[in-house]
Amino acid sequence: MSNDMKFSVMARPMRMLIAGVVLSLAACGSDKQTTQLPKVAGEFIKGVASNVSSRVTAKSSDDASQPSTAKADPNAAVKAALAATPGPINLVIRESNAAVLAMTPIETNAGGVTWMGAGGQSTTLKSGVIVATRGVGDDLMAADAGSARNAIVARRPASYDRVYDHLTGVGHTSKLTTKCTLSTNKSERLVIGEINSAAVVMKEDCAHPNGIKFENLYWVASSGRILKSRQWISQGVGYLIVQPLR
Amino acid sequence: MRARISTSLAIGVLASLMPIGGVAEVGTVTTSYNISGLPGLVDLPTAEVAPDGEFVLSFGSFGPHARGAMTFQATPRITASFRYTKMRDFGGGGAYDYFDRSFDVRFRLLNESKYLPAVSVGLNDFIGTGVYSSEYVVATKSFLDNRLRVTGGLGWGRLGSRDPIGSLSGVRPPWDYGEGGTLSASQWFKGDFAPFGGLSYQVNDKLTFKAEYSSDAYLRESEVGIVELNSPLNFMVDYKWSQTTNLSLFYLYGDMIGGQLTFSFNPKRPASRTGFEAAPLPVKPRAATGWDKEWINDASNKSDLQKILADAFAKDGQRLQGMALTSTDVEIQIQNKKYNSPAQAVGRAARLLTRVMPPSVGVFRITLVDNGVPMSTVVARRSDIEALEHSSANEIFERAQIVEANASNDEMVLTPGEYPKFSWAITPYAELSLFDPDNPIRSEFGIRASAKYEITPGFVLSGAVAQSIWGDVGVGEASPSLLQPVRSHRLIYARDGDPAIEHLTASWYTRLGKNMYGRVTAGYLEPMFGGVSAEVLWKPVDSRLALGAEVNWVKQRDYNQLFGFQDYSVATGHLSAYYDLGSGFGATVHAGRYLVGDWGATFALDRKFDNGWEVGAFATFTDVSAEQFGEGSFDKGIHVTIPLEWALGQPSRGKSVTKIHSLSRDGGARLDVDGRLYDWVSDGHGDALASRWGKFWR
Repeated sequence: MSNDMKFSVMARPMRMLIAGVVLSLAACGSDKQTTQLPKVAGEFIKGVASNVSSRVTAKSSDDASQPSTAKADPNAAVKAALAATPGPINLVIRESNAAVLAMTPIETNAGGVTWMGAGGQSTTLKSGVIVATRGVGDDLMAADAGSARNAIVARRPASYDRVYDHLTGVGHTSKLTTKCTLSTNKSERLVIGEINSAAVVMKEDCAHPNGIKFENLYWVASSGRILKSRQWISQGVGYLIVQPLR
Repeated sequence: MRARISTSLAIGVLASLMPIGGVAEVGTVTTSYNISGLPGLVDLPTAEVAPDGEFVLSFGSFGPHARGAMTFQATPRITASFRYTKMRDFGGGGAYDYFDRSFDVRFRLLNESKYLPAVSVGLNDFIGTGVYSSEYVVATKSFLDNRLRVTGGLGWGRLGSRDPIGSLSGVRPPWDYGEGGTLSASQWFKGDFAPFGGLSYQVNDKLTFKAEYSSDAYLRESEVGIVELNSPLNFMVDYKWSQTTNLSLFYLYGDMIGGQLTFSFNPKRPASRTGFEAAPLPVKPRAATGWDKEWINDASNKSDLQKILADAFAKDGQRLQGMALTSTDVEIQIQNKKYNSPAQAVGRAARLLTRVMPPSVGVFRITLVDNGVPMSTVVARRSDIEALEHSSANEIFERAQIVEANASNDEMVLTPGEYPKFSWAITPYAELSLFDPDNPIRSEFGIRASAKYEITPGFVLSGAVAQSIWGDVGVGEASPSLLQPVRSHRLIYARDGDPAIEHLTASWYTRLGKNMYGRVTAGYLEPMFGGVSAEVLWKPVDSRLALGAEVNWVKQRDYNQLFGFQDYSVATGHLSAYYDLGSGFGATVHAGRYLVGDWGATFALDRKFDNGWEVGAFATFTDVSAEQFGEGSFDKGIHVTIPLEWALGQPSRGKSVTKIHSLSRDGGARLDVDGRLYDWVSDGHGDALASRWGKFWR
C-alpha cells in the first residue's frame, strides 16, 4: 500500500480528442469536409434529443424521421403530379409510413428504366418489376428477377427463385435468394389518374429459410403492363407501392 | 495515344480480397455486461462472448467505486477490456481517492455443444499495479432456448480470496509492480483457488435477471474499511433500453447498491441508417450512330467536354483534377471528397462519363487522386458499364481492372480553375482529457479556424488556429519528468496556447516513381514541434506489404504556440513496415529514434473492418529505462478509428481517430505530423477499392 502515494502523484492524464461536437455554434467555410462533422453532429444531437423526448412522451414510429418524403392525401398528390408533368409518372409510396414520391423516367439502359424523384431517390424497373432503388436508404442494390418478370407479365402461375442484392453494415454485397410462388388472385378494375383498365391481381409469395417472408402484388393488364404493384425492397424499407398515373 | 488497356494486375489477387462471408461465430453470445464491463454475471465473469466486433463503453458506480470501461470483442473468441476505476478514500490506507487502470482479456477455449458448456479462460488486471489481479476458468451452459444460463468457475488471486478449496504451486508469489506496466505472468494461476457461480435469466427481449455467488472477498477494501462484506451474493437487473443502450441496477455483497449504463456499438451495424445520399445519374447508353472520331480534331471540343464534366463532378461532391482524352480512351483524375467507398466514387464517375463522352470513347480510366497525387486507376470498358449497370457489383468487379496510376501522363490536362484553390473553415471543437488523477475528466471547448491553399497538385499551404472558450484541460500542475518534457508539458501548452497555432505548414506530396510516394512538410508541424519532415513510402497498388522511411529535424515550440521556439531540438525518424495479415488484421512496426532521442520501436496490431472501423493496441519500447520513463514503464495504448459515414449515415470520408495513451509521457513519443503517406495512400489502393466495392453502383 505504500506505493499508493507515488501512484496517485505520478499518474498522468490520458488524452482523447473528439473532433468538434456538442457546441451549437454553426460551422461555416468552403472546406466541406471540415465543416461537415459539426453540422451533421448538430443535426444528430437534435435528432437524438427529439427521439428521446418522443420516447418519454409517447411511443414514436421510427419511420417518422425519413427525409425528403411527405405524407399526403393520395388524391391531391395524384392531381398535383398529373398537372406538373406531361409525360409518364409513377407515384411511389412507402407502405410503412405512407410517404409519397412522384417519379419520372430519366433513362433507359440495359432493359431497365430508371425513374427519379425530386428528392434524389430513384427506382429502376424492368417491365414494371423493381430491380434497384437508390437514395431510399437500405436500398435494393440489384435483383435477378428474370423468371418472375416473364411469369408476371404473362399472368401465368409459376415457381422460381428471386435473388436480391443488399448492402451489409460494412458495405459488402449480401445476396438473398428467396423461393417464390406466383398465383392468380382475382380480377378487378383499376381506376386512378389516367388509368382505367381491367387487371388480374397476381400474388407472389416469397420466403427465405432464415425467416424473411414477403408478399408482392401486381395488377397486370391483358397487355402485360403492370398497372399497380406492391413490391418488397429490403428489411429496412419494407414495401414500395408503385402506381403509374398514365 | 493511350488506348492500350493495361493488364498488369492479376485480378485474382483482388478477387481473393472480396468478402465471402463473416467470421465464424462461436455461440453463447450475450449483450448483457457485468460491472467490469465484460460479458458476465454481476461482478463475475461468464464464458459468454459479445457479438464479434462489438465495442462497448460502460459507466457505473457502486458504493465508493466509480468505473468506466471500454471493451472490444476483438475476434469471436477474444474479449479485451480496458477499465478505469476510482475508489473513494482507498489510497494511503483511507487518506485519499485511488485511481486504477486495468487491462483484462478473456479467451473462449471451447464452444458450447449439446451436452457440454462453453469454457473460457481469463486474466484480469494483468498489466499494471494489480489491484484487481485475478485469473479464472469458467464454464457456461445454456438452457430454455438460451434464456437461462448457468455459470460455474474457479478463480485465482482476488477471485480465489473467499473460501478457497485448494491451491496450485503453493502460495501466490507477491507481485512487485515497480512503475507498473509490466506483465504479472509469474503470478498467474498460482496460489489459492475458489469456486464461483451464478445464473442469468432472460425474461424477455428487454429484461435479464442475474444472481451470483462471488469468490472475491474484497480483502483490501475491507481492510481499509471502504467496503463491508455481509454476503457473498450479488444480484442484478439488466434492462435493454435500446439496441445500443443497457441500464443495469445491482445489489452487491449485502452492502452496496449501484447502477451502470452500457453503450454498445458494432462496426457491422451502422449507428445510423445509410444510403440516403442522392441517387447517381444513371448510365446513358450510346446511340447506334454518331460514332465517328472527327470531333477530336477540334481542340475546343476537348476543353468543352472537360468543363461539362468538371461541373458534373462538382455537383456530385468530387473534383476533376485533370483529363487526358483521345478519340477512343479517356483518363480522368478525380479527387473523391465525399464517399467513404472509393469504389462508389469511381462508379459514379463512370456513369457521369457515359453521359458526357462522345460514343467513340470506349475505354474509361478513372484515377483516384489525393493530395494531388495519382494513386490507382480503375480501367473499365464503356460497354461493360453500359451492360452491367443493373447487375450485381461483383460482375463489374470481374470485368474492371485496378492498376497503379500513371505517375505522369503527358496528355493530362489540368482542369482550368482547379489550381490554385483556396478553402477555409471555421468550426467548433471539443477536446477531452481523461484519467487525470486529480480530475478524471477534463474538457475544453473552442473554435478552430483552418485554411488551405493548394497551389499546384501536391503543393499545399495549410494552417489552423484554435481559441478555447471554456475548459479545464490546462488547469493544475504539469507532471515532473526525468526526460526532456516533449509530451508531459501538454498541460502547459493547453494553458498558454490561447489562441494557439496548431499547425502552419507547407507540404509537398508526389509520386517518386513506380510504387513510390514522397512527402516533405516544413513549418509548425504540430502543437509542440516545428521543423522539417520528409518521408518516402513504397506501396504497390495490390500489395499486402508497404515500407516507409521518415526523417525529421524538429525544434520544440514555445508554450504559447505562436511563432517562437524553445532551445531543445532533435533529429528523429523511423523505418516503418505495414502488413495486412488477412482476416481483417493489420500489423505495423515503426523502428527508429523518438523525440527525446531515444531509440526503439513501436508495434501495433489493429482489427480493421472494411467500412473503415479500426480498433487496435500499440506499445513502444525504447532505450529509456522504466525508471526514467516513470509510471507505466513504457508508452502503450489503444487506438480507435470510427468512420463518420458509419456514425452519421451521410456519405463522408471523414473519420474520428482516437488514440488513448495509457499514460502520456516523454519516452517513446513520436512526432505528430499531418499527411503521413500510408494513412491516405492505402485508402486509394486496391484493397480499399476491393473491400468497399459493394457500393460501386451506389
